[in-house]
Amino acid sequence: MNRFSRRQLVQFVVCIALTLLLAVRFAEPSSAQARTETSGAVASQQAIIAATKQIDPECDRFGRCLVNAKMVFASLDVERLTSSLDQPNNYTISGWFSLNWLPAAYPGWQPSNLALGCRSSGCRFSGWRDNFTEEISGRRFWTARFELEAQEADSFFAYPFDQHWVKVLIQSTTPSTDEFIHYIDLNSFSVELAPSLMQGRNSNFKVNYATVGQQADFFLRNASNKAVEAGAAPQQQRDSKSSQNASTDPSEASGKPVESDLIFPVSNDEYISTSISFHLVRRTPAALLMIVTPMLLILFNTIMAFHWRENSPASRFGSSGLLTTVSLFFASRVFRPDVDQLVFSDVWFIVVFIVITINNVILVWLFRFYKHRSELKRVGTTIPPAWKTENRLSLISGSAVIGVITALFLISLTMLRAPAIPIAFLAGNSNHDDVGASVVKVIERHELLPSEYLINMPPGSQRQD
Amino acid sequence: MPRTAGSRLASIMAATALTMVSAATGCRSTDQLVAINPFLSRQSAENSDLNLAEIQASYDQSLSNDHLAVLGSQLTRELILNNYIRFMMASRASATPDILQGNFTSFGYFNAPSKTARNEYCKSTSKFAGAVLIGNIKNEAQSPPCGPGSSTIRIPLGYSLRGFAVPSANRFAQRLDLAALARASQKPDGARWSDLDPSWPKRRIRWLFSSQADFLADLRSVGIKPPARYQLAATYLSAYQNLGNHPDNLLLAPTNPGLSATLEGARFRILPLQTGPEGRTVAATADNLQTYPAQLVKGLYLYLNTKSANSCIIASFADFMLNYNATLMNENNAIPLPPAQLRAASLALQNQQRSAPIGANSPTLCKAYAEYTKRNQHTPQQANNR
Repeated sequence: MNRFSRRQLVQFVVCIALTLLLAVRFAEPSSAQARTETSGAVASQQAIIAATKQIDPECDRFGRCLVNAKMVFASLDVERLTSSLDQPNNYTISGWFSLNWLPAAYPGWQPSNLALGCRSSGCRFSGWRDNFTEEISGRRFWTARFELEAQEADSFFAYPFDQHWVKVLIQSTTPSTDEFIHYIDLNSFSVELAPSLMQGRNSNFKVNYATVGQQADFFLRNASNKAVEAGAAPQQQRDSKSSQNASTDPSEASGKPVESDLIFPVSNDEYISTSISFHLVRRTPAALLMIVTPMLLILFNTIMAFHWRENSPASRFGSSGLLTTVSLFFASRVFRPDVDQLVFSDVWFIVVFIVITINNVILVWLFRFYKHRSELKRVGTTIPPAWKTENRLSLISGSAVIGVITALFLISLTMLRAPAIPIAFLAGNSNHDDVGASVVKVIERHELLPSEYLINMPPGSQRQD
Repeated sequence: MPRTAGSRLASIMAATALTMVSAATGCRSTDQLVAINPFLSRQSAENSDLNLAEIQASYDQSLSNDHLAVLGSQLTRELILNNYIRFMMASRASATPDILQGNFTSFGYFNAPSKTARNEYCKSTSKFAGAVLIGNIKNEAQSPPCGPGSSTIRIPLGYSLRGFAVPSANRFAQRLDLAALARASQKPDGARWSDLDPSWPKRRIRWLFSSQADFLADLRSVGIKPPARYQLAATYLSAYQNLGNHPDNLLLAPTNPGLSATLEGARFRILPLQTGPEGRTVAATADNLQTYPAQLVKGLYLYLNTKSANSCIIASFADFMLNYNATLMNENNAIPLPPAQLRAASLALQNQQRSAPIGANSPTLCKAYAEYTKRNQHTPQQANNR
């Protein structure tokens, strides 16, 4: 028993020794690796700061070396933005995308790590073409041509007074480059439209607003971990706080600049997306010309044919049938977006059909009534001459048509109104997510034109500022 | 014969099952989609990879999210956008899943010159939750925001200075006598450099301004008659970048101590101002906030509509900017508030927040930020340990 126990004890000791040996063997490199990683991170941070100081020698003074180094400047120049009535939810956007960044802050990062996308998955990006790269004062400038076929899921009920949001997402093709997108500067992000696009020469839309925004998707799966980390992280801030009303800003407390990147570091699990949106309004005059011209002609011909006194009843009903068929063809096939829902221009054509039908009914009554005119006269009934009644009916019919057109015009004016701020505007602009937060810079139409950087103001020019 | 009948029956059953399956899947889902969501076409529904429930949920959700709009000057846009991103990240970092669930907050910054922004914001029908304005300190101190009886409170955030800059090619001007410039500007043919100092060249001053600032009012405030001819730059940064075009250029524009660094090199000099006859000069730096000509010191203010639906988000954001005032202002080319003013502003905001405490129904971001501040508040125990 004793001997057995000793053997067991030896085995136990050997096991423990082996376990400890293995633990030490594997723990040493990992701790060494951790040390190397930490020192590597510090070294890389110092390298970034050194690179920034070459460009911005005073960055230390204002505590923004890291922020300046990581800042990425971008611009989007749109040459073409089109959509066809055959595929109304598809938009083709083409132009140039430019970036300006400090390569030392993103070692190994290439623009090929970026792609453009849209809100739905049915989206085709051409890739970057005709690249141009230049390095000036340590910063890299890169620009490339692109074409994006963006797909949206939107309503066309208000056609031809419809307004849509088209969203272009700047996406990372590799997860490790998310940080680059996070540091794209929103304020300086320039969105410019080609003058031909602003004048509507190559698009059936005009752009009323553009927005540039960033969205933080708060991933719940990591929130608990982050909460624990965050509880530990602000120790530095707590230490500098002397009273409840005092500032929590370490810069304030220490008198030395502390960068916000150090106070609010970006975590690896954070996903920040940057996007550009365009608020499109259909070029109504062109659309109206397409729809209203044939419709008014149909209506005019029909009313004239019905009320032309010399026409026989057969001719009147014949022209009614013919014009209704033509109207139906225009309404259903030619001048409407290819969607399986009623659009506003369909309502107009329905109104045209109703007007034509009412005219038919009136005429039926008129003919049947005046057919028995001589008999009515014989029994002594006083009735006005046929032309008088006919004219009165034409007048009533015409007034009704004008009334309907006025009502439709007023409705169309409400459809032309810009989305209400803030709910309709920001809801249309968002990704319809239910968790997270976003910040959006709104760019108005006049800011979308290529900017003239310096204007000579002649004498006597009174500028209102 | 029985086998044929059996196979026919099987075919009928298979066809029926197939019809039922197809009816239960693709066709039915599209029909339902169009029926439930009138804003979604059948075509887009068929092309989308999202399923019915997801589309419906996102459609409903987007309207019930928290949307808030702020109106402000182009000059303060950088400050607000950059800091709001920090505010989002700080709030998110401390919030727990139960707080983060179920709501999305969207913040939009709409651009307008300060005067227009003030007028638009102060309308009784305004939908803006706040406004960020650049104002004359004296004027702001004299009048309540949006007039008496308004539900708006004004929170100072920092300062911005207006400065006179010359290109580095201009080697003669080392200071600028404001009184001499004001006198010279009254001359019918415009001011010359020699009017400011007889030893300087007799060449005409070429004025350059930025359209981002109310330069006419700024000139008049220091007694300078606006010139007949001038050049106008789209932004104040582009004005500085174009200053070197001619050695006789003189720029009046917003400035800050870090501007040279921001523009990556000293291609210009911001001239110290000679404010009195005794020749004392004062440079446009944060240290000289009290001695710099008051007309050229502008305050940055956040107007907060306390009656707005999501006012607690703007109030939380303001609290964040006051808590980290030095860091956030310095990083974004503004001058932080002096400690006494910072304390007063924090106190005013706290009083407002006490009157509308954050509850269970408050927007997600307010609750998340409250959690963040709670975690960052040190306990008396910790204070004693230190």
